[in-house]
Amino acid sequence: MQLIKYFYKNTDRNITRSIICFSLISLMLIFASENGFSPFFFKQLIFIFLGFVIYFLLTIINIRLIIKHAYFCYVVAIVFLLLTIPLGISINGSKRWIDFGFLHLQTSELIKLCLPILLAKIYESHKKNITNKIHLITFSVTLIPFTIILKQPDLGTSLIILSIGLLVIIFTGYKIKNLIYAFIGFVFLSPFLWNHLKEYQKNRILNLFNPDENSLTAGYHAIQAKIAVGSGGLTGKGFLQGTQTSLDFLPETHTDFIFAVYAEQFGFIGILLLLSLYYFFIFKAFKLSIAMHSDFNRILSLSYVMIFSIGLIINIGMVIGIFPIVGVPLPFISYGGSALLTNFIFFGLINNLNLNKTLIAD
Amino acid sequence: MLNKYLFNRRAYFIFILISFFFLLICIRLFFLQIIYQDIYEEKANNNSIKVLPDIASRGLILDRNGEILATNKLSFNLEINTHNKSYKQILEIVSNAKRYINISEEDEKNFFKSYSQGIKRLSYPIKFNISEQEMSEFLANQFILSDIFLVEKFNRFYPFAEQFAHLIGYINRINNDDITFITQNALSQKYFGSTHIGKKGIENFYELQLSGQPGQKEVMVNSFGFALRTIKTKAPLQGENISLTISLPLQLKANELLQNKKGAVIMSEIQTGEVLVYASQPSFNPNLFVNGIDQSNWNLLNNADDKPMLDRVINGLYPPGSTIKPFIALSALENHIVDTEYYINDPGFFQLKNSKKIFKDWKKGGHGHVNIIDAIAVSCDTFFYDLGLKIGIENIFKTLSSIGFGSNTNIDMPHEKKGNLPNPFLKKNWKLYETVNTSIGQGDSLITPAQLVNALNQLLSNGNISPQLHLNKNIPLSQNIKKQFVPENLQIIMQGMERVTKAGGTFGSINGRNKYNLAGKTGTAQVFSLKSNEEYNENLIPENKRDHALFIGYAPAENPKISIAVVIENGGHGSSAAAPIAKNLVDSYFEGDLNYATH
Repeated sequence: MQLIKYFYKNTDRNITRSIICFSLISLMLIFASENGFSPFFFKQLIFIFLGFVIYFLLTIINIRLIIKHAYFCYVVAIVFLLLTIPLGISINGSKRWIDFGFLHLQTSELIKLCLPILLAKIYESHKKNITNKIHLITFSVTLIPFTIILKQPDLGTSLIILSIGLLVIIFTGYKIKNLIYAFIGFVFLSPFLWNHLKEYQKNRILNLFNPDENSLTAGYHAIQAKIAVGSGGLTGKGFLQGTQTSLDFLPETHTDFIFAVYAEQFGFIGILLLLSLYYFFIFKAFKLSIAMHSDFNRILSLSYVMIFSIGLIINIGMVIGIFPIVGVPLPFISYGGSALLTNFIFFGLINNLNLNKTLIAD
Repeated sequence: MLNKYLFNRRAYFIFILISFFFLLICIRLFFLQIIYQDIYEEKANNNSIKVLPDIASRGLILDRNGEILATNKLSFNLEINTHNKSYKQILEIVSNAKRYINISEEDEKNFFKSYSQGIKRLSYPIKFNISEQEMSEFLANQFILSDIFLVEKFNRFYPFAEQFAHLIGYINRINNDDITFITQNALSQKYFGSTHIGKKGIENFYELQLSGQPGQKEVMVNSFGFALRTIKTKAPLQGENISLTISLPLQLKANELLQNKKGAVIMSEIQTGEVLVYASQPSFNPNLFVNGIDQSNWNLLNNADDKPMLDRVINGLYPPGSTIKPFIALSALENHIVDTEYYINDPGFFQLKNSKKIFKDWKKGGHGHVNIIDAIAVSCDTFFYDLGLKIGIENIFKTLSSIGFGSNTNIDMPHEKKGNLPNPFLKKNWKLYETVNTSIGQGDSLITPAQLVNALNQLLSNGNISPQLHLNKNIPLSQNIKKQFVPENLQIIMQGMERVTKAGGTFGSINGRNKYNLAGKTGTAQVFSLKSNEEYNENLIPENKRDHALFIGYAPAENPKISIAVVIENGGHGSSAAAPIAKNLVDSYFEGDLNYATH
């Protein structure tokens, strides 16, 4: 009881409330996308419950041990990524999961958790003298998981990992000018990189520009999602009234395209409400992060907020057709155990970091 | 300590960047959901609302007394849902299905044929007319075969199978030629969702009446193409039933008489042209064709020596032989060449002036003193050799073509053949011996049995009515009658034909048993010519070169009501092979126990 009181008094209540809202929306949309109660609904219910337990525990326990072994955690996460190559199960042509019976663990979620801890620790321990060498180390430890995940293939998650590395480098004071040079270099290198993309990845990027071209193959998802969103109109078709969703024209409704389910049923007004909630949530978490006292806390917390935000933008962007379809879930709402738990862990840890101002005092 | 000021400034910058993306998302959504909502709403409706055909049931085909000759039988087909599926996926479904259902190569071939060529549908049949056993096997495995489903369907069924194969024909799956026909005639609406079309016979000729007009069902479908609920319906216009003039019992009788023979019988009412019997043997089972005949059966039918697929009534071409003689006589009388006072003395052969070629009479030693009536009765060749030359080929041609030889009879059947009436106006160097041959129905002349009956009807009714198969009592008969021949001339010819079945006539063998007073004319048509010094000996000649036996007849002689033509291929003498069949059928027509035959 005391713990709950402690939790209630000392954490940001807006964050917890928002997560509760997301969870309810998630259950509602999974119900809608599967036309009623389905195994997905109940599994999601269990994972939400589990998520809240973890969220609560991570807020109050002492996490020094994890931080102390940040390198080890990182190596473990990399090992899991590598193990996915021979052991992973393949869904829709990509190997991203290891089957643990009750959970298909998406191994890239582990690195999403561990990489920011490692980066925060690197900068924390060298904060007196941050040299370009440190930035280079940061970039290198980012590039390893980025490459492995890109090969899975999972373009979306690998880009999120890469951008976290880059963002941390930016936050810690790397010269923007150099980054601009790097960017120009990248633009020149991009034809070479293009050749290294898989055919379907190329198709997806090309489809972004013209999805109507081949509606029965690669562009089908993009078109059907846009139809679902567009046909929702101002006020939506009403809960459970979306034809694109209930008649199965929309693919992957409970996972990557759940935003389209929402948009079809609740329309533009509903979307403004949901986006406001997300924006408010990100803003709160952002404010919380930059107000933290130690560099370690700030870097780690902000990294998590960034991962969350980038994932959100990529997901919605791909559903509404401004980004290619890369298979990134809508945070807290899409069905999927590992991603959901990762988000709970993010914000549990953020709460913890907020409470324990000096985790690395010595 | 890091530069906190720089850190925060850059963090805020990134946050603003995130905010910018939120704004971008909102703008994009504003366009999608507010500005272009109409377009996407229509697309969503196009996805989920499908117009499905509600196939009209095909009209029945009945005989003149309402006996069903072609009907629709409830059967079950298996169809594969192909909507939104790639070709590869469909291949997988088919190969998976083959593990649980017996799908022949033929079925598979037809499936992919209709899938790639047919009218676009949500699903295509993979197996037609499954048995109860197959159905229970399918239902037991349906959870695995989720893309395959049972479809209730009415299949065309011909209960009398071989008995009416050539007349009624059959329906078969729509192929590329049919699609061309459908699009050229702007009939796409009518064939919306159809799988079959009439290919042969009555099924083909009355296709537009039989097929009806499909209705439409607007249904909400899911992405698998399954209809979930109906929004709007438009009922189909069912196909019309077609009543034929055919009499079922007479047709069955005719086929019985033709059994194990090659030949055709056509019998009609003289005054109306209504066809009572339309039989061609050997025959085939039209039910084999309804869902596409398999290759082995097709080869069997198509390569058989006795040509079971040939409709001998309108497509069988034969020299008319002596059955042409009454019409040659007509030409002579109409052109005032001879009268009944004109006699010749027949020595048994005929010789052209300035020529050594001898034309034999069928009777050695000849028929002696004969006039035109005798000549018909005894089928005196010599009389007609001489008569033909007297009339002249031009007049013969005019008379024969005026009663329908060399042209379509306009019977309501598709693909009728015209035969061949040698045309002296077109042919250069017409030789006199050709005239001589034409006068006894040899030479290049070719007729169909339908033309024989048609000519007989025109002669006896002195009108120009066409044989007809559709029982349609609304046609005012008088309008079609146009007297063209001098009645006295007709009387003379009829006298001759009456005497054929009397003692001394070529079919005099029935004299005394001829209850219903059948009159007619026998014919024996040479399939190949003998040299002048050879004798025809049936036993020495291979069967396919033996003479065709023909007979045309009508009854009762004093007041002609029905006409008949019988052709037996390689049957030998008309009097022994063809005429008895006619006698038998005519008797049946007038017998009380085949009461069907009268109105």
